[in-house]
Amino acid sequence: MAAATLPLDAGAGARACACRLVYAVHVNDATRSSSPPPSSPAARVDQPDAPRERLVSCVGLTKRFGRTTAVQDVSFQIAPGEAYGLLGPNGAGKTTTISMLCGLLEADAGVVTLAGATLTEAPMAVKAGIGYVPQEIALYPDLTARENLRFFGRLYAMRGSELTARVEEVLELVELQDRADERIDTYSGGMKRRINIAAGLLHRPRLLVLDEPTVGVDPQSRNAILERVTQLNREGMALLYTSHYMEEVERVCDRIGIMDGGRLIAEGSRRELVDRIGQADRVELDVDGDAVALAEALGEHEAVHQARAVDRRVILLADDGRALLPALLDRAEAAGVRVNGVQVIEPDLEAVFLHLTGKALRD
Amino acid sequence: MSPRFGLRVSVRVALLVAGRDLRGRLRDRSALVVGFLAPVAMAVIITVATGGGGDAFRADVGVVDLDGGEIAALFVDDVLGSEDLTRVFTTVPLASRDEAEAAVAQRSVSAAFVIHDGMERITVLRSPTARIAGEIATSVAQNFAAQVAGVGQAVGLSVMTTMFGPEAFDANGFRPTSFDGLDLDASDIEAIDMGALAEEVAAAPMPIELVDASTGPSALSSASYFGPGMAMLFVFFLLGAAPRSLLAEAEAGTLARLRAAPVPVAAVIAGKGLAVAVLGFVSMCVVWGVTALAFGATWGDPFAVVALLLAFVAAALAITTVVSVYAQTETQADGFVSIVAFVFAMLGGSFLFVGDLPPALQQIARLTPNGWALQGFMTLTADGGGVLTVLGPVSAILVFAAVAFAVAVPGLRRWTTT
Repeated sequence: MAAATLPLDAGAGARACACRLVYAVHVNDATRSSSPPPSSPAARVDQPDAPRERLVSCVGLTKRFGRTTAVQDVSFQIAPGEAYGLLGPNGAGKTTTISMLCGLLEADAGVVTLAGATLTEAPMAVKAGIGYVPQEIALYPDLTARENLRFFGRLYAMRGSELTARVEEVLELVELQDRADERIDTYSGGMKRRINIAAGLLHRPRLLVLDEPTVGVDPQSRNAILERVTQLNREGMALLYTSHYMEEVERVCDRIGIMDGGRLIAEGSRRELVDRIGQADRVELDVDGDAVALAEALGEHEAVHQARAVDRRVILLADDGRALLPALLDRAEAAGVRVNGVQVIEPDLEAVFLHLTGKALRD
Repeated sequence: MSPRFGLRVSVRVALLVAGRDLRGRLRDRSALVVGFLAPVAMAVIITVATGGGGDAFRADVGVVDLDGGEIAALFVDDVLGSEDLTRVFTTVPLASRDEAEAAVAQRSVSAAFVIHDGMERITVLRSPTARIAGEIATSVAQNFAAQVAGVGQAVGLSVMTTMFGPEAFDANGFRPTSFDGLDLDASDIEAIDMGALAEEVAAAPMPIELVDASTGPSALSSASYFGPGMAMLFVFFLLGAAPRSLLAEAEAGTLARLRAAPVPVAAVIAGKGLAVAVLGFVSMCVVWGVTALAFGATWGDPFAVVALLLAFVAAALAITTVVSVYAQTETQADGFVSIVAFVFAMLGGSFLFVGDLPPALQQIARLTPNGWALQGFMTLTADGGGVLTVLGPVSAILVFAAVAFAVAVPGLRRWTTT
């Protein structure tokens, strides 16, 4: 697939066509170079590209439901130990994509391979390598947590002492050993989510697929779940993580594919994605004094692209806003304007999505 | 995956899923109510309401004695007048065959016996609207005829022995070398003591006793009829749980997790069917046992009963699968299964004796597996017999199962491919 770049200025025309473009970082050929997954999310960004080993390869996945095309020509790859995120609003096609990858949905077109095995030719081998954590609490409420885990473990041909030991391991991992013999329908939402994930880990999959794993849980449980998932990734397990929560994907994933309208419209590390939209930081100053004059003065700085006064605030679009702050404050002082507060808003994936589609991620 | 390995995996998975489902259903008290308490309670209520155990079924039968002899009197007084048959039949004396035919046609009697002159034969007049009475009457007549034939043979043997002596018999029976020189006159015939012969006939086991020994008419009670009838009604509800649980698991997400595992999806579905089939079969056996213990009901030869039960479970599972897989929600599937269960029970005769229904409805009963199964149970109870006796009903029920499964397969595909 040919790569294209988007103009730096995100005007109406660019927005109109953005949904049909795929960024230059989009991977769709064997020669694509990128960094292998490092051991921590922070270190993942901005590493030099290197030959990528493939664990998962999805090429040209397409799924139609009647006249509706839910997923159109989606391709991506995941390296061993890499955390790959699919980000997009509800209805973007994330769940349909991973359903095809996990063999739950038959693709109308496209190929899925895992460790060299093709889903259509060796479905059992591919499925055995994937741990699937559905969006729903896919557990039997009338069984205890331990009974659920033993049942799902047996589906993967685990038995005897191996199964018993592994069930204890995953219970320990999700910190629910003490409640393991209680029925699932007595659990809180967060506890159910943790067992839901544990069930996907039993057979030590090479790829853990998590579909919106934190939906409906409280912030504390969400944080705990993200901790566990990140830990698993640090230990070498590849992840495919879907969410419409931008901050979760940013926190967990090495690379991110942005989906909208059934298409993968951009792909890359967070930094790469943000860099490619070329959007400046937004700096907001709360001031006492002549805001209009200050806006004019600050607008003359070479790193400031735009400056305007709104009531008692000065709003700037600038490169590297944090680094620019001392200079801005010096100019305000020189202009005799007191600055009461400063806010620097760096472009995030929300901005990237807005830039690409012209709509907010949670629309 | 090799076919052998694949089969082994499929069986393992089916048993695993069946075990989980059975455990879940047994923990769910509603399944126990639907599967065990409700059918037993309904069978008991209807049995008691229709007169209790063995005395529930009664019919008027006409008797035309054109012979007027001792043996005919034996049939009318000692057989039809026996303690067992008087609990079932009330005899109505009639003058002629025409009168008997008219009485049957007008339903003033359910059946009629015509004893022809010289005991040449006994004609049983039956009505299609009173099939049970007709079946019992036929059974009684056939057994009596068999007894008379047996006694006749004994008498014939006695006459031959008197006339020709024991030397006329060899290992293959009567072999007179020649009839020449035989001097048969009246004294030879008179030598047979007719009084002793009559006593011999009278002392012979009554036909009804022989019929009793092979689950005869006295066993055809309300419990024997409504027991299986109610068991069949509720087994529909029980078996409908399998396809409904597919819908429930699809909504809960567990089906997706099962399908994401490296196991054949068909084995998962088969496991679900197996679980409720086992439960349904056990449920029917419990009703069988309770009606037998509480009311002395006899469903018939155990192997034949099991064959009927297994066939019915297969048909009910297939039918509930058909109506459920095309439902969009679990609630909708519940409604469909309830409608089908009650319609089949009504038309099949679970609530009323099929024999008491108008001819058209009796024909319609054959369009339901319930109707065929009840016919099988009636035949077993009235005539006795084993598996071969119910081969027809079992085959018909299995045809229902096969057709329903064929219709269900496209619907099931949505669980396996989407």
